[in-house]
Amino acid sequence: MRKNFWKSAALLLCVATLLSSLGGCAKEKQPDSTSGALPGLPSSSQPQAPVDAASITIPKADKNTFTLGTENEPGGLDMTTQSTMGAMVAAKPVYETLIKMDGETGEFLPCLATQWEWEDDLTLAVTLRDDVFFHNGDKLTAEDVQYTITRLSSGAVTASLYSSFDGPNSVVVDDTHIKIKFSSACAPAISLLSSPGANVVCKRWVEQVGSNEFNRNPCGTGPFQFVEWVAGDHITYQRFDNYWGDKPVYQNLVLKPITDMTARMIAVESASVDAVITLTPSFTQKLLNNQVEGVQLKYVPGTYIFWLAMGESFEPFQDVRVRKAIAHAIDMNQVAAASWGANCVVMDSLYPKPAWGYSPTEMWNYDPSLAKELLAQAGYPNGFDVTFAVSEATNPSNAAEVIQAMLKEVGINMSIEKYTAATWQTMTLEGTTDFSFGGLTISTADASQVVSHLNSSASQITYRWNDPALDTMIASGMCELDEGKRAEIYQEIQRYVFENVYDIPVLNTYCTLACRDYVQGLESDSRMLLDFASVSFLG
Amino acid sequence: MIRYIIKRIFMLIPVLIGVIFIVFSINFISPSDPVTSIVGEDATLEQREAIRESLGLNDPFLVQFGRYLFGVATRFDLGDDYITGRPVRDEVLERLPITLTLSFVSLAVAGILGIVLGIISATKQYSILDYLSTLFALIASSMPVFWIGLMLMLAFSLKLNWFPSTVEMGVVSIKSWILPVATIALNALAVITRNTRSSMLEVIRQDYITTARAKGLPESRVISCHALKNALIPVITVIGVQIGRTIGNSVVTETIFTIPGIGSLMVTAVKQSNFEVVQGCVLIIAICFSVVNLLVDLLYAFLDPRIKGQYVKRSRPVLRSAAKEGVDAA
Repeated sequence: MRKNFWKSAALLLCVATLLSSLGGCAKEKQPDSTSGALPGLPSSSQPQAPVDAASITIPKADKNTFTLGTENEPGGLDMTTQSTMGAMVAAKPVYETLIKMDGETGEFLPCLATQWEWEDDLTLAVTLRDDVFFHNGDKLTAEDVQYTITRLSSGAVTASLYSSFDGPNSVVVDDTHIKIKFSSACAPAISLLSSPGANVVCKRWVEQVGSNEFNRNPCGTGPFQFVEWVAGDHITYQRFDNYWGDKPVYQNLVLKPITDMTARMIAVESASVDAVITLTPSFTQKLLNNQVEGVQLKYVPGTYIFWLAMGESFEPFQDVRVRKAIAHAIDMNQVAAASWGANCVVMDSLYPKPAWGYSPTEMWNYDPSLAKELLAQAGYPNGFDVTFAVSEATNPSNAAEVIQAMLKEVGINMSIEKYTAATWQTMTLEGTTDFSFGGLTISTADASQVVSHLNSSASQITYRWNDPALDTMIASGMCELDEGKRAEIYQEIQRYVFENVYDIPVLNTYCTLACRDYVQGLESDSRMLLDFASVSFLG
Repeated sequence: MIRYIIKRIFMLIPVLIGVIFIVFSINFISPSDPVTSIVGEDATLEQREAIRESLGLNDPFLVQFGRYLFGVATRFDLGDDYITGRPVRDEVLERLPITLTLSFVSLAVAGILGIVLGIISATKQYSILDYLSTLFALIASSMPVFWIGLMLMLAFSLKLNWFPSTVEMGVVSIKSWILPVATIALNALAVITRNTRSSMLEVIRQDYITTARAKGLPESRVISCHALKNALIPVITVIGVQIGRTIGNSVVTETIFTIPGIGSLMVTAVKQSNFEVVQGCVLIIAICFSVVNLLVDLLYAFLDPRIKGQYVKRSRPVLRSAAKEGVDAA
């Protein structure tokens, strides 16, 4: 009898397991045009209600150490060779740029430079602070700035962005004055000088330790100095007591890479770390709904853009009517909701909101019947087959599936192929995919970086278009130093790109971070560059 | 025995060459380009080509393979990390002790608990303890490791706040290692328990066990001195196989708990198409696995004299009979 009981229990368990596995099957994502607005982040960041010290759930034990959980470990800390967000976040405590950008207004403010002025189209005269020291004790001079500029044009990552900077011919007037020379007019020069790639380095230090060692052992002018890097575990910094600006109130800063998304959210919830960046959409939603005790949400509109790219070499895409049909066939609200969810906003411009040049305009409305009509006019009444290459990451994959369902409604049979991020990037570079997403963090916060991939000589073949008129406009935008005229050029580029549907912008993500209730003053700019020096602790 | 060990070590060489060849071939035919991870998307074609040329990525397959093999054989040079520029050997050897510690501690915990549970289960067959341990084994072996890890983290880190959710490196932070060890150990524990139970059940039914009991020996002595040693032989095979699984499971566990071991290094390297690091990690893991297999085989000899006898030199009986003939002649 006892044996029969256990046999029955085992059978029941098997049936339950089978039923639960069937319930786990994902339903085909169907577009729903009636769902309305996204339950995402408010359009502008709202001021946080002040936290009462008595209401802190888990008090901070060690008030001398701030630990941040990051998304990934950087490959190095030399920003001329690194382009990942992990590297930018890890380099921020140590380095500073000549000019910085205000996180909220986008205004350019003095940092290591006190003032700057264009003497002519190819010369920018910069005056430096006189009270800045590097972490090795050397005083910052114009020679270090010239050395920094020279390195930019040969850095693996920075060479193309800073190609018009002419470091060798820049003139060191004296210790605090330098005339930065350019080989050609460079309108986004100030944006570029405020970007992480232009972090000012100590010439003597780099020459002493060599580039390889410098990548793992940085020396800058920032409020923190590098202490140690335990590969795969953490990077530790210490307050720099000879910092020229407001010194941090705490002594130690620890960056801990937690690559697993769920583990990262749990880490801040359980107070294993004081804050984390890059939240999952579901966690953001929980924070918005005040469902997580002891954790506060902070966000700003970011400069990461995500767009739909159609390769010029694919015959159907050579007809502008087909490209327009695709634009009208997709409801971007649904794509955004299925992918980044609460962490993003549908784009209403070619450029992200925090970037210079942002200009909202009317986008293509969701109209499948118009899409079918356009396809019929272009000679594809029954649609066509196309393969879509996408990164295997959750958000782009989900977005691709929604688009697949929507395009099927208008007759376009899109098959999805998933690859690792590195493979997918290679495919867009080599043009071995005709239909894909594009994703880019506009580190310069300037419109010029947004349109650079459309240029006929751009490195990514899938994204670029052979259009001499567009090339001319892009080139003139890079050279026009008058702000008003430059703004007009980029508005014209936007109009032209949308008229020809060279690019279909999808969404623009927010920079999101979550911190414990005792953390005060932690703010991010639109590029996820955190102001670690302003952090303090309650309680 | 020494000859056997040396022979096994030499047999490692073709195995490792085979492993390197397979991994190298997969990396070579992969559509991903590691240069993208090095320079990012903004680099020009000329810059990318220059870096490809400097890394030797434009050379034919056999040239690249031969160069790599020569480096490994002569200097144990596993190449340089494409992203950091550091020697892969240094990166891998830095992290190897962490992964091995995690794997072996987990296996030790699983082995000790599994054998004890298996013995109890076998000696008290059909009792409530037996059924509970069977149910536990069924559930634990069915759950994927990443799920176990996340569930343990949610329960003990988030809800109960007993353990931290990330590992802190250092001796004083043993508390932070409990969850990762439990994650890997649970899966192995289930398998070892089941195998110990079935092996013990087979042994305790043998005649010599009945004889030992008939002689009046205490049950504990019967089990520990007579039954256990014979029952352990298949269990050691299982533990040997579990070593590979624990090293494999450490890949997932290290990612979840942010442990700077080879597993997390390999996951990052695969995502970045950092082929040199992937090759280096696979090679080191293959070496570890082969060495562990050899040690397990030698352990058999220690436990079972019948197996040890196979390793003894064949010339000994010839010498004995020659000596006897000599005596007879005299």
